[in-house]
Amino acid sequence: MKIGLCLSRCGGLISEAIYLPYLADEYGELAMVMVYDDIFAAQEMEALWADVSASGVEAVVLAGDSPRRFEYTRKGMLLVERLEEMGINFNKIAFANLKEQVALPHRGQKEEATKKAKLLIDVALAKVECSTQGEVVEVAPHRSILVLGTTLGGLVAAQGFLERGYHVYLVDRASRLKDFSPWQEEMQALLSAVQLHPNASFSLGSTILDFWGWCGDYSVKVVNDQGVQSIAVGGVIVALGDDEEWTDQLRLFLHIDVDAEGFFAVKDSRTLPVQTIDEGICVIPRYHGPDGLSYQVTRGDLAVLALAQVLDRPQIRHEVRVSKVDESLCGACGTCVKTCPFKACTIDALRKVSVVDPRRCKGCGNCVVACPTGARDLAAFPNDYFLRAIDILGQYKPPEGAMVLLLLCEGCGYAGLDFVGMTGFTYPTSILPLAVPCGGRIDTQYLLEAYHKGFDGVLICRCEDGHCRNIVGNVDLERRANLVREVLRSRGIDAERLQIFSVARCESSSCAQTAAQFAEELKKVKELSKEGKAKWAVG
Amino acid sequence: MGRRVSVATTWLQSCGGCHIALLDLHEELLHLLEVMEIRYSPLLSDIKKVPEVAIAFVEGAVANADHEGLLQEFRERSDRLVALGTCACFGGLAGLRNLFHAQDVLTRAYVETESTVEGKVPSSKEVPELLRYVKPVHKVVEVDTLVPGCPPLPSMIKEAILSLISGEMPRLPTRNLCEECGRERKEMLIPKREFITEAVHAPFELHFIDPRKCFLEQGVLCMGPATREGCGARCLKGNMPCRGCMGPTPGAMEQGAKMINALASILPAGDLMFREDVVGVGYRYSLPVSIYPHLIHEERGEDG
Repeated sequence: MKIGLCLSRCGGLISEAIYLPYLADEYGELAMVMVYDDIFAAQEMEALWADVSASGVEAVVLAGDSPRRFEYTRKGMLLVERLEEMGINFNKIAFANLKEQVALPHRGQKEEATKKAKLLIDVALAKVECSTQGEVVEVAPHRSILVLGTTLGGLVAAQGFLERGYHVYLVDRASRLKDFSPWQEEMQALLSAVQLHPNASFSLGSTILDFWGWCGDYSVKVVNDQGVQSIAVGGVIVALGDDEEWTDQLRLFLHIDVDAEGFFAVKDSRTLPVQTIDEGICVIPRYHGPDGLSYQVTRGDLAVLALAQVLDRPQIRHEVRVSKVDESLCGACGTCVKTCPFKACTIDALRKVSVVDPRRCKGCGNCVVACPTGARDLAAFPNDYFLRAIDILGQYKPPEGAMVLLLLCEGCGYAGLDFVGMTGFTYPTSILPLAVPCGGRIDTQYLLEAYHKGFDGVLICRCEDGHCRNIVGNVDLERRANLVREVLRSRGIDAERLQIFSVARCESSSCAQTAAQFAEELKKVKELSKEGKAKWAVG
Repeated sequence: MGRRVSVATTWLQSCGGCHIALLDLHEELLHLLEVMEIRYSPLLSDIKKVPEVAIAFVEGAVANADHEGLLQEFRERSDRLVALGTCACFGGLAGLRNLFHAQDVLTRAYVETESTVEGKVPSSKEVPELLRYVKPVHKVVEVDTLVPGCPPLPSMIKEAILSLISGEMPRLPTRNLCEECGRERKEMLIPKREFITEAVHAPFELHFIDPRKCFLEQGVLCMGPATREGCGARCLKGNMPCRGCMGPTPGAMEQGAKMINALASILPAGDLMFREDVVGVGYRYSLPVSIYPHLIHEERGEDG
């Protein structure tokens, strides 16, 4: 496979902290190695596309900014989308986070930072090499919208979509429409307009029984005293207001993050104020500041704008996240069925193998880990990739201190470690980060492998209780870790060398602080053991 | 009678059970002897020198220096070498001693056992030296094919012999045991967050075990999901859970970790025997082929 490596100086931040020309030389064997000033600048972006096109590479590693800069900023994915249009499969595009996770936290340690940067690039290269070509499914979006919550913002959004010719289903668990005081006077006409509109269907006193699908094509099962109703919608507006209980119920169906208080969260309150990690779902966040009316109305309008931009496209592309089941290994035990919180797995009664519904699968990887035969894999985060990544990172020889593998869940810890870099906090270079899609993707085998490859400790950052976007990834991780500690003990390895801590998704420096503290403790125990004062089993 | 294919068999650290499985072919063995000729076997001959043969079967794990020598001799003199049985394939029960220092094992066996009076560890040069770790056959020499099982089904041995004679490699099944077991699964097929049972039981704790129902659904830890099929689910037919003697499937790195992964959503394994005896449950037969195949010793550089 021809791979291209695009190194970004990030406007000088990276070239100050890392020997970039040396790195570029190191990868001279690749089909394409280019250095750009800042790949988000229009000219540079254009140059990158032209270089990729001219070199004919089939995979691209973008080394520089954090993948979050692409995924969580406005139009951040433009560069990547264009690469996909040029024929590069989405699973063949990987990121090496040299800015937030190397250059910024290891300023002034140019040599070590360069060594670490090389390892992170190697890991990204392993990712494009190990990932299988992802399948793309295109759907024509339904011209209908589900509005969850007949709050003010929800009604504004409903009206917006009605005006655009969409059918709107308004669902609320309350059996009566809410009172909009103190804004009854301002909002009464809007409420009437929605109520009287022929394309609006109200379903009050309702419970969501099931919800699955993807942007443009969601299936919803709703029940109330009128009976069970199955509806198909193209997009969803979540406007629950302060309803904590309903949020908890819906969290089992909607694959979106929650904020520190456990309410549904948007991607970035400043640049993507209603968008969520699911393109087809917009959230109107609860608000307690001054002028609530204006806030709700603008957020309602923004949600219409944002969602309509997506749904007005004739076709919506979907990346199938889970790869095919290896039927030669699957004995239909049902573990995946039992494990999947999204009900994506079933056993095909005739063929006696497990099958995955791509419209239900969120790509968390819990079934991949749970499958006791290894018949499952994730297209973008395959088993081989993690084993190679652990092997690559394990090769780092720190000048001092203990080697820590820091496994970061994309939903929480990854952002946490980025934040640490951005705020000027530093931590030892021997803390080596590896992103996982979810705590539930952390296979017990990888933990054992990490110690085997020479890591002194493994630290896992997991979402706080009740905050996992995949519902149970953090719970299953804890359960597995408890048993893995027993395995470590049985082999004479100090079980304290595995630590798990939970972190809120949002900005906090606790991630690196915990890691640095852990590394310090490991170092102390290691030194004491050299003097014969403590027990230290080496891997 | 045409030319018969020459066969040699031997046993290393083992109980001899795999050879008994061969004998369990009964009359079928007579048919096999029409196409093969056993030139060397601890079962029936007392030949000192290993002859050159087409097919060699090795039972047992490699545990002492003598085993290593004999195994190498076997490899050199055979075209095809078969690891016969769980110990040869994965280290087996004998491999459990990898959790102790070899010296401690000897002391325990010769000095500390309750019935021993004034025992001492044999130190004669005639006694082969105990290896530091028990190893499966493939860690010492190249192996052409595996016939796992503790012991393997006689029919598996027969099929392996017949396919090797016809010049083909025996093909092992690759799925886990569940479909072959065929017990009814209901709870396992329902996506649900609650564990299937509130507690986990040893089979002897239960007054009644439903012979048609999946063991996991009865709260009994069964290694079937993390174990290769092909044994005919003998234990399950005898109403006992699988203990994993067929080893991991080719898609897994090891059985213990994979079972831990699976149990997270199935049984409250955290507070039960798995926890107390994680090795006995998850690694009973395959410790020497697990990611950590032995105790990690405190002094650096001493393991390996």
